[in-house]
Amino acid sequence: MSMDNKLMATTLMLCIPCILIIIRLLCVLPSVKASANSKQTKHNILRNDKCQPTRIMALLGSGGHTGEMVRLLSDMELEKYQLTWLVSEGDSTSLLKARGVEESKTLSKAEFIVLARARKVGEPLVLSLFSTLRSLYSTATKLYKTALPDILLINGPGTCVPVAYFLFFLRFVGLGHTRIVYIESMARVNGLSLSGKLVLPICDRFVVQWRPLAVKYHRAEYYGLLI
Amino acid sequence: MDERKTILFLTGATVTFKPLLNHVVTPKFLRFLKVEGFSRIIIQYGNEKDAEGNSTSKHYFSQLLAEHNVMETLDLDVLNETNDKSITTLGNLSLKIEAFGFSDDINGHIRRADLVVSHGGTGSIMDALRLKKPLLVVTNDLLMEDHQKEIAGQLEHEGHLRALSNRQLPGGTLEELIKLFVQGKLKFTELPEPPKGVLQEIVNELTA
Repeated sequence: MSMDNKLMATTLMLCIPCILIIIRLLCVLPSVKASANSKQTKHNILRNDKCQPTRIMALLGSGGHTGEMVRLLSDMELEKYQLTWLVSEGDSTSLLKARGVEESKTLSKAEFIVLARARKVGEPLVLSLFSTLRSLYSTATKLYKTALPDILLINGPGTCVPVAYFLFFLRFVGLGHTRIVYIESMARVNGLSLSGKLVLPICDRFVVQWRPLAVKYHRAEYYGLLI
Repeated sequence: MDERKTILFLTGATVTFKPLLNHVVTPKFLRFLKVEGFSRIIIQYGNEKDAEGNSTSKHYFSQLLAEHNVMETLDLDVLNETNDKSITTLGNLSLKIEAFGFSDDINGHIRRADLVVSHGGTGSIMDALRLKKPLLVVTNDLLMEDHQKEIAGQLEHEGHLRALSNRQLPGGTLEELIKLFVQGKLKFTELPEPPKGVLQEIVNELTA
């Protein structure tokens, strides 16, 4: 009898946290909410005071990703926002492009956060696992020290995955409030990038630039080529 | 035929696109361009750097010039070089070649060009298409997990550019396309303007 009780107690102890985690996930996962009340989320109240400007964090990945992000941002009223750039270590080209955006929009200098690279092109899988973990740790510590953004804008470089998951995790445990917007690279015509597939469930808005992708993924929004 | 046309080669700002440079920086190809009426040739050779910050792209470009005896064969002189050696102008009375690794004003160069030959990166492709320039894209087969072919193929399918792969360079496909352009036989459809304020609207909705 006492054995049975013990078993029951352990089962409960194991089950309750699991159930709670699932309930919490259902509450915060954009992919679940999206199907419930279409693409418009109703719970848009941000933690911030209304008088404070909205904080936008934009990730500049390197090469083509940076170029696309800069073009996307040039179409925004950036002066309304408090902007933070996320750049990979050693990526001086992206730094220059970011400064270029600030100058063209006559913005005051935005904050910069430098991240460890997630994975170098052509790196073996085992090594890339290690560097991904290193990148995750460095991302977490650096992001946690700054004021969390209201909106995270990402467009597909490898570094965006740990950043997105960390900010989503903070929201999951109730410490964050960041909404994530993903814009798939225009280079993806028929299939999502690995980053895109990985962050799809946790993004509040997911934009693609070619119609076949919008047909394939029901949460993907399509408006044509944006850049 | 207008004898004073400008052709611009964009090879990307990161990795040196060696197959395209190998093909372009030869007396044979440069002479072909001149015969086709391009008296001004602009070559953006790449911005790849080694650990010490030296431009390996520039080194590669210079190496090709020397290897193929380009200066001597075409009777070119160094007309001008900026103090930091970032822009080199080579030429003679009838031909001018401007070469640089990276430019802050790439759009200015594109505007001045009659024809753009670009690598398959989305940045260069869109820079040229947004300025409504005739565009030939050479995709790089050497890149792993790259989607240059996919995007260039799609845009070619829609009539906005003509695409070829670096494997087609030795067969003379690029020369054929340039000839067709000079003869006015390449027709392109304009890329529609991007919809305005899409991302702004999304951010507005999320912060409302």
